[in-house]
Amino acid sequence: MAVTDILARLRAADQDPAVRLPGEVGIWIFILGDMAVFGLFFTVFVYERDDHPDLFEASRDTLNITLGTLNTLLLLTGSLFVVRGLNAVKDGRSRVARRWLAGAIVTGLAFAVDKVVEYADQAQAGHGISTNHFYMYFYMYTAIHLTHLAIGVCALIYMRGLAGRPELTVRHVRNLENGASYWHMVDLLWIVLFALLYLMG
Amino acid sequence: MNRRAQIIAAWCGPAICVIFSIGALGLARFIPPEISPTASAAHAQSIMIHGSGRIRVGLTFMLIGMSIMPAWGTVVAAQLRGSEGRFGVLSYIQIASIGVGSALACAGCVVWAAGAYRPGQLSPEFSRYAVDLGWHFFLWAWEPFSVWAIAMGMAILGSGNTVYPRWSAYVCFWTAFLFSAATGLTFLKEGVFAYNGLLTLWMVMSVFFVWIIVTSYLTIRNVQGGRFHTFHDPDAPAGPNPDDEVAVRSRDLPVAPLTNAG
Amino acid sequence: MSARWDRLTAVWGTLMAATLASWAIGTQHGHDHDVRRLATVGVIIVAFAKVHLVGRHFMDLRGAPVLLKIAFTGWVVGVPATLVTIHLLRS
Repeated sequence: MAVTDILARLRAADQDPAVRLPGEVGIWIFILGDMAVFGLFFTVFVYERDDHPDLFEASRDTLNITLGTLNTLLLLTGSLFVVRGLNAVKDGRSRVARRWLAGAIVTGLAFAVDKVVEYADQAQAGHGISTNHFYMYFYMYTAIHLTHLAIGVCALIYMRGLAGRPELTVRHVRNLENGASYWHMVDLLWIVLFALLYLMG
Repeated sequence: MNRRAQIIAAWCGPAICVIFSIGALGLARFIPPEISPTASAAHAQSIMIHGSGRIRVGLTFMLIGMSIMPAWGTVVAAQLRGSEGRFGVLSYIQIASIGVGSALACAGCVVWAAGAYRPGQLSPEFSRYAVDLGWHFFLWAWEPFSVWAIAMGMAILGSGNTVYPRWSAYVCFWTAFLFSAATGLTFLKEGVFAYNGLLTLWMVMSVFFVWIIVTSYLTIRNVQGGRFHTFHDPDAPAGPNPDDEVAVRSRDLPVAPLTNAG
Repeated sequence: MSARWDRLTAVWGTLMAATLASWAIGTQHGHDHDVRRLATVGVIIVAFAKVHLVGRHFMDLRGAPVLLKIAFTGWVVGVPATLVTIHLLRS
């Protein structure tokens, strides 16, 4: 099959009325672009880990897996809340939607608190960003992720404000879907980070 | 005139990439860095002595590249300015941040050049300090660039698809986010986040150039599509522009087409 | 309405259970080299399976345009394949 045929089929499939893009094209360029760079992050980490397996393993042992797991559970639950909130908005139940989104904001803030506790523990134990390469990756990757999360929490607060409006325009719904998609990206990047930093043995 | 100015400024984008690359990759060889953060002071001094000529020539190119960045950024701000209304704060943020960002990147080049200025007379530690300081100016101070990209993205979203396509705003945000990987530079001397690292130097510079090329393409397309104005001053006296009057007419110029007098 | 709730709850429950299971495995220390190698492969695959669920059900990619699905699935398959290959070749 020629490339043009494949493209024609793809285009035809996209014109199916059942097909719908959540949010807008731009947010997916952002999300896929960010995921591509994090894919590079993950690859670099695994590559270097296998150069110094014992050093990385000994350093991983100092992480608090329970706190890491708690953070994963928080983000997964937050993601569910966001989906519920968005569904409630689309059903026209704005009070319920605001409650779900408030719940999601709480999970995001709790994640940040958990992370700060973890950083403080590590700093107390004398493990800094330049202690060894494991900690370099740990601090840099989780800090970049935490920046993503902070912006995500701001987005959720904005979304909660939108959900309270008596009327929503097409633009509002699009922004809500953009914000939700972004928040799920924060979740899924953490799922992989958690596996690589905390669990990979 | 406005059209030409805008096209020239927009072409500064690709020009930055080319001129900067000639200087950084070919001549000064700061990318990839010949002097790594773990290099000894003696090594830094030796490179600065033996390469002092080509390093300073290369830095001149890098400086020119970073100096035409405000021209490039300003045409984007100008394209977006009209959609912002009277208090065009996002356009002003863009222009101010380009100024700061460009100045910091230029300062990096200046510091490096000063490090190569007296080959053999600068102590090893000072040579290495010049290299470190240059990288801090050049790459560690990424924040103005992110402020710039975010302001550009917000202005694009605010203009509602009338100037730039909405997706390009998300390219701006993506760029602004990924610049942040340069933060680790000051804490680390080796690895992927050091100033010669894969994720600090290579990833950040690649993202920056992708952003410049995409935005340049869209800007040039905008201007060619008619997003420029022709100058019209209502107070100007009517009549032809005096500059357009014939000042010199060549006597050699044939008045009528020459015919073959054979 | 209730069908949507059931599906989402089931997805969420699966994700939570998978996380807790990895936690249980992660806190145990096996010293056998081959077991550790395989456990790591398992950890990576489980993580990306979770990502797939988040994408499909939370991000609502089930009904998304084909190109987006291809790009997302390409990441969800390509990245772990790269990681596992690197790990198996180099450890």
